Formats: sequence, structure tokens, C-alpha cells
Amino acid sequence: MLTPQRKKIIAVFLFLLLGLSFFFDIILGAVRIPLGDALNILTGSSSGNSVWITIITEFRIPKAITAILAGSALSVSGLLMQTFFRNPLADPFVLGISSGASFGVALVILTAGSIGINLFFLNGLLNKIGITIAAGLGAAVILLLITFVSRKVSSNITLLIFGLMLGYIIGALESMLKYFSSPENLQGYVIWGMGNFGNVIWSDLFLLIPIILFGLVVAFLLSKPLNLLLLGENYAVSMGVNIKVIRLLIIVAVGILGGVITAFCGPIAFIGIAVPHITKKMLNEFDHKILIPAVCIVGSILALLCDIISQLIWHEQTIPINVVTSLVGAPVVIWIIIQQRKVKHSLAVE
Amino acid sequence: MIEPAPILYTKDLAVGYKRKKSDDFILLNHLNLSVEGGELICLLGQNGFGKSTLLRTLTGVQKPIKGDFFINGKSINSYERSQLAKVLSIVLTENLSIGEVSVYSVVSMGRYPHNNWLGILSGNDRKIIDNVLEITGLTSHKEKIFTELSDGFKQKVMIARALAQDTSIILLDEPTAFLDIPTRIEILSMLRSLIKQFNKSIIFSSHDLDLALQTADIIWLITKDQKIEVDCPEDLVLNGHFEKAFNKKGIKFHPQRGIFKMNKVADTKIQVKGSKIDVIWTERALERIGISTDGNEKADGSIQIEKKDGRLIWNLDLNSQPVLFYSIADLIKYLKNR
Repeated sequence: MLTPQRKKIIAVFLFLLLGLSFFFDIILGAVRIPLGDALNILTGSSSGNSVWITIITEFRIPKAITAILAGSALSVSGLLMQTFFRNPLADPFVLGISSGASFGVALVILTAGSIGINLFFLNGLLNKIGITIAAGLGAAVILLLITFVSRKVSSNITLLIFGLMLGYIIGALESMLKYFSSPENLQGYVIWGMGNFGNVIWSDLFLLIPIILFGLVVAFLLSKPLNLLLLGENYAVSMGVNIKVIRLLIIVAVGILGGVITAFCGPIAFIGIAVPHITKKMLNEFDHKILIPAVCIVGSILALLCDIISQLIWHEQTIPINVVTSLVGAPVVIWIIIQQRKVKHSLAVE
Repeated sequence: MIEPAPILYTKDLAVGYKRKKSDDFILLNHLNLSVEGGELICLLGQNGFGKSTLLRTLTGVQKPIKGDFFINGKSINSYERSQLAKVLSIVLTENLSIGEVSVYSVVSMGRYPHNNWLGILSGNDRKIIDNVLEITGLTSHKEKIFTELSDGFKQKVMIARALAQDTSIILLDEPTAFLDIPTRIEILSMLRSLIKQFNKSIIFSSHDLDLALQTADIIWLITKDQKIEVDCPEDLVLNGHFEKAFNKKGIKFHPQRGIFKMNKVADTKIQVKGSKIDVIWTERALERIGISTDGNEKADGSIQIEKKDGRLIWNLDLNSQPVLFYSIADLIKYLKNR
């Protein structure tokens, strides 16, 4: 058990780290901008290089904000899934929500120009709103399916397996689309699939911020039933949790947080599964009313750091964010599996 | 005198499983049970006869097939989950793995039905939790990690949590399963003392016949005809219901001792004589290897236990062949190989 004193120190440290990584995510990038000029642009006191101003205000700041939103959203939905399924390896995408979103995107990108779905294209360029709508629809369809099934089956394990299988089916359909699509379209889809925080511009953020905030607030309101769910559904119900309502709300929150981020940034791997574990280990905490804000901060830091690394690792080139998140997140998952004893217990079917 | 109103009573309750295509599968039928304050009730019955199903129904998790039951005079159907959590708490046998959660935190969850939407503990909540930890002997363990405790302690923590929930009824599903005998006794005597202190009604299911006989005020005995016999344990023994409910081929209820014994067909009868305690344990050993010790019948032989120079000696006289033994082990070995 950590003393409140130490928890405060950790909190201060995390906020500092968040501020720093936000700052460096804006300062650093493929285009080198001297620190002094960058600071001047940030404080609005410079009338210098207009290209640099554009890069920072129109590209890097929205990208950093998107990283924070994505980090928070994915981590919180990962936390909700892990508690809900009482499975340390569950994350938002196990339910197939991101597969649904991906499939929507695949439909748009991969069939571009071939069967006349030019509705989503402007001058032959992909329109982001088109992708978002497609991803949102894809996620929504899967969400509805999962919700429907969750009313029928009482066991979380069954639901989890259902989600996994759904993911495979969608994956197969997606492969088929890929197989028949043109090389250019395939390339576009593959690049989207590698993830990117940089596709989001200010006008997108006005949509993204309220949606993600709504999802996070719903999650926070569920803190108390989530704590009770740690003891399993039976105990939770015996202590007054209306499991059907709570289950629906958890699925809605995860669907919003996971689905929308996937639409805007591509399927970002491992943040959802890794951050809750890192946070729990660091704070030694189980209480969701503390964990939810905490995973938001840790998730934001991790997303920002991964974004910084993706800018710096290759000279004057940005490598895909999924490469970095996988390199960081996969070891965490391996670490979880190595802690066999606990995993075995948590996966034990009652 | 006015009869006290029962805290819980069932009205023509039937429990089992609803089926869509065929007839419902009914395990227990026409139940008219009632629970008054301050009773320790043990639900006994063979496996598969509906113990867990009845408990699940009484917790409101499973719908009754027929009939209804009432808690504090109110039908279960008119209870919201959150209201029910204030009158009825449960303790299950699930093996929980909940990560790094302290004993104090688990017990504090018992206060959740009573506190605000964020589950923040008030001063009163903390007082109740401290008191509950004290009663259950967990005060010195409150900082420990729940998952790392022994099964017995985990069970105590879950009972403490149910106590913190401050309900008039506590249902426990097999609270002594998977525990060693001293811990079983400890848990059951703890339940007994809770009844006395808080005037709660506790219903627990069990396999443990002799412990149930010792601790329960009332036994709900599931019979073989889908009914429940309600009586004080001793009455159930004397009126033979116990025997009827449990007798199986090869097993026989022993009313003198309140235990079940393997009912082997004895081919030899031996009469044992000596001081009382020596006789009891020698008889147990003989019965284990299939030798009857019923004294009245015509015996094939006899054992006289004596004490000489501070040592016990067993004088066996079987088929007019006297043999002498210095331990039960030797005696048994001889009788087995004879």
C-alpha cells in the first residue's frame, strides 16, 4: 500500500511528465524548428517563418492533442474491458469494435473508384469524414451485435469469445477486400492501418474532443459498479449493481472511445492493454474513481512519447505510430503472461 | 404472545430451471419456509438436490418457477437491486483473484449499497468497517493483499464484507468448503457468535453433517421427494428424516454418533471390552476393516484392552486363539492378514 504522500508525489510527477511530453511532441519533429523560434510561435510573439508557424499551429498542436485523446480513450476502454471481463488480457479491441471500425474503413478505402462509391472522395482524395462515418458505422454495427448477444448470454467469457470470433470473421472479410483491391487503394489502407495521430486537424478536434470527453465521463460515472465488478458479477449484483444497465453502459463507453479513435487515428495497438497494467502497478490502486483519471494521464504520456519516438527514430522520416506502440506495448503483454500465476487465476472459469 | 413476523418467508415456492421447449425442471416444490431473526439455519441435502438453486433463488439471481417469497413483508419481485442489497448479503465459494486489493478495501465494498455514487466512505462507514474487522478478527490483517491470503482468511474477509453490508439476512453458499477442519469450526463458531451479537438471520448450505448438527439452530433438510423438512437438528435425527434423506447404498447413518459410516457387510463380529475411550477408538479401527463390533450379537471373538505398566495391551481371542498386541496398528495388521 502506498501512502497518500507518495501517491501525491507520483501524481505531481505524472503531470510534469505529461506537460513535458506534450511540449516536446510539439517542439520535436521531422522538420527541425529551432527551440527559440518554436517557443516564440507557441507564445504567439513571433512573426517569423510562416511555414514553421503553420507546421506548429496547424499540424503539431492538433496532433499532440489527438495523441492525448487517443491515449486516454484507449487506456480507459482497456481498463473497462479488463475489469468487466476480469481478464488481464482483454482490451477494447477484443470485442471486435475496432475490427468493425476497420472494416468500415476498408470498405471505403479499398473499394475506392471501383464500384462507384465516389461519394466519399473529393478530387480523388480520401475524405476524412467519409472514413469516420464508415468507421463509426462499422463500430456501431458490431456494437449493436455485441449488445444484442450480451443480453442473451450471461457469461462474460462467452461474450469475450464471441467478440474474438467476430473479429476473425471481419478480418477474413477484410482480407478478401484487400485481395481484390487495387495496389494504390491497398497502400492507402495499409498506411491507415499503421496508425497516425497526425491526420486530425482543428475542425476534426471540435468533433473529437466532445465525443471522447463524453465517453470518459460515462466511464468515470461507472467507477463504483466497476469496483464491485472486481469481486465478480454475482457479488456485484448482491451489492446492488444492476448488471444489465451497467454492462450496456460499459459497452457504449468502450464503443465510443475505441471506435471513434480508430476512425480518426487507425487501429492503435497495445496502448489499451498496456496502460492499465502499468498504472495499476505504479499506483497500487484498484479504485476506478482514481484509476480512470490516472490511466488517462499515463495513456496520454505513453501516446505522446510514442509519437515523439516515431518522429525521431528515423532521420527526417516519421515512422508509423503502431510500430512504436507495439514495440513498447508488446513487452508489457509478455510481462503479464510471464506472471503466470495471476493470469491463470484470473482466467479460471468459475 | 404475538408471533414475531418472519424476516423472510416463502409461499408455495418452486425452484429449478425454466425451459423453453419442455416442462420446467423443478428441483424443489411447494416450499413454505420462514426465517425469523437470530437463527442460524443450515441447508443440508445431497448434491444435485437443489441446495445451490434454492440459495440462488433466495438471492434473487434466479427467478422462482412458481410461487413467491417475501423479505420484510415485501415480495422479491417488488425489490430493486439496490434495495435488496440493503436487506440481503451473500458469501460465495468463488475463488476470487482481484489483484492488489487490500482486505480493508474488500470489506469497505460492503458499504457501497449505503454510500454515494462514487462510493466515498463516510465517518460512520469507517466506524462500521473497523467494528466488523474487529469482530471477525481481521484488524491486524486489514492492510494485507486479499489475493495472498489463505482460503480460510479469504472466507472471513468475505463474511466481514457481508457484515459491513449490514443486512438482516446473510446467505452463505458452502462457507466451509475447501477449508481444513479447524478453520471450518472457526468459521461456523464465528457465524454462531454473529447471530448472538447482531440478531441476524444466517442461512448457509453445507456438506458437513456433523458440524451442521453441532452449530445450526434449525436445519432445512432437502428430502428425496423435492421437499424440505424444517426442524431442529436433534429432532431430525430422532425422527429418522436424516437417515431417509441421506442413506445410500454402502453408507449408513449412525444416530448415536451423528455421522455417516460406510456400511460394509461384516463377516466377523468381535466384542471389545475395556475403558470407554479405548473401546471407541478400537471399534472405529475394526469397523474400518469391515469387522462388526455390535456387542449384543453372538461374537466370533473378543478383545480385552488392559493397561499394564503404563502401556495398553490388546488381548485378542479369536477362534480360541489368544494373541497379544501393543498397538492398534499391529492388531489391525494381524486381523487383515488372517
